[in-house]
Amino acid sequence: MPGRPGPPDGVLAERAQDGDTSAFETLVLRHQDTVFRVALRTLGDRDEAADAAQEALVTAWRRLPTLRDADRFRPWLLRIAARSALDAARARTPEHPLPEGAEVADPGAGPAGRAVGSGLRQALDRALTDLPPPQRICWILREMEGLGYEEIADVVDATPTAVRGRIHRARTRLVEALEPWR
Amino acid sequence: MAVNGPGTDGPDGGDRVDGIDDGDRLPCGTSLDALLDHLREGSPTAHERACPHCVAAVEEMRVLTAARDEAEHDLPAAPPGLADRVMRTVRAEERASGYIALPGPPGRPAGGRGWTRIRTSAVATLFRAACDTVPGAAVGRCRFSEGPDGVAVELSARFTGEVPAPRLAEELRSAVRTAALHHLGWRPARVDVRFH
Repeated sequence: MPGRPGPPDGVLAERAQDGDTSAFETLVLRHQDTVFRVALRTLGDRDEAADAAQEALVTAWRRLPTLRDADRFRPWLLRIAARSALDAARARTPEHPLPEGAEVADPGAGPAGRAVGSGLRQALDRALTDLPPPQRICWILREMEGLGYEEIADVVDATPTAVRGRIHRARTRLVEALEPWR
Repeated sequence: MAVNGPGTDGPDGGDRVDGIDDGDRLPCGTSLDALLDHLREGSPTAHERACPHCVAAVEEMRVLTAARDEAEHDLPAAPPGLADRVMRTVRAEERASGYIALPGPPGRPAGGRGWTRIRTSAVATLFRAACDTVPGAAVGRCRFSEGPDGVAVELSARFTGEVPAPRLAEELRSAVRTAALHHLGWRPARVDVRFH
């Protein structure tokens, strides 16, 4: 995400590869929100998402020496995050299936926000949970996190064309699901 | 595979044949994605404002755009303490770096009264800080190699301004040499700068 000042990711990633923990800390602060949201959207539970995000960020530190192109740090990190969240989702016991609704529906807004909300946003969150995960993650990375097709393709290990297709299908299904709010 | 592993891909979740029709092109040839981007930036092109296909697509997407805009105002943030927990583990696992042996004071051979050596990570931090004072460049890697003339320094740098490379490289070299001499009493054999 843009906004936090400082050297570009590539510079910080190279410093971190040299063992500079302060540079890595700047990268963590810069990207932790996106990493957490990717986990939250995949897992639907804040505590589990926090654990998965922590696991992903620590894994990134351990794997930094294998990152070849420091300028691709962000998609590389988000790929680790997406994997970590999916591993956590798969590791769930059948007695604890994916939680539906409440947590995913409105993880951020307080009661006041909910009271004045039109319900549209909650409907979007519900519609997103109903999407197949590959479509959901592509749409979220594009629309909510502002990544480009190439970057998303890096994250989800698909071609940019496949990503484009997934996002298009996600849009179509989301628009259908939101029809009552039109 | 990252997110579409076995068991996670619904009937519509997989990819159809790549490159045949991703459904993103409107009949007028405009990319829906580009159109939505322009709309988001508040700068639709003259074509996008007038073309019936574009106008219809925007109308079709309006409810989703509104939902996204609403959600965007209140994105969940990472929980407090996440970065601290991560950094505690990271610092506990800090990778050990090598050492550079520093020369003794002038006129007295190194090692006469014991040797001095310093972690390369500390020297790299010192040199990067020195390079941070040079406008127009950001230095990432700072590595050391032993050559016949002594230890050489190699920096990787990116342009952040308009200063031409040769001048920038000279300024970075000078910053490193000054810091090395001032803080460590050391003259590196070479200071190489690689721009990218």
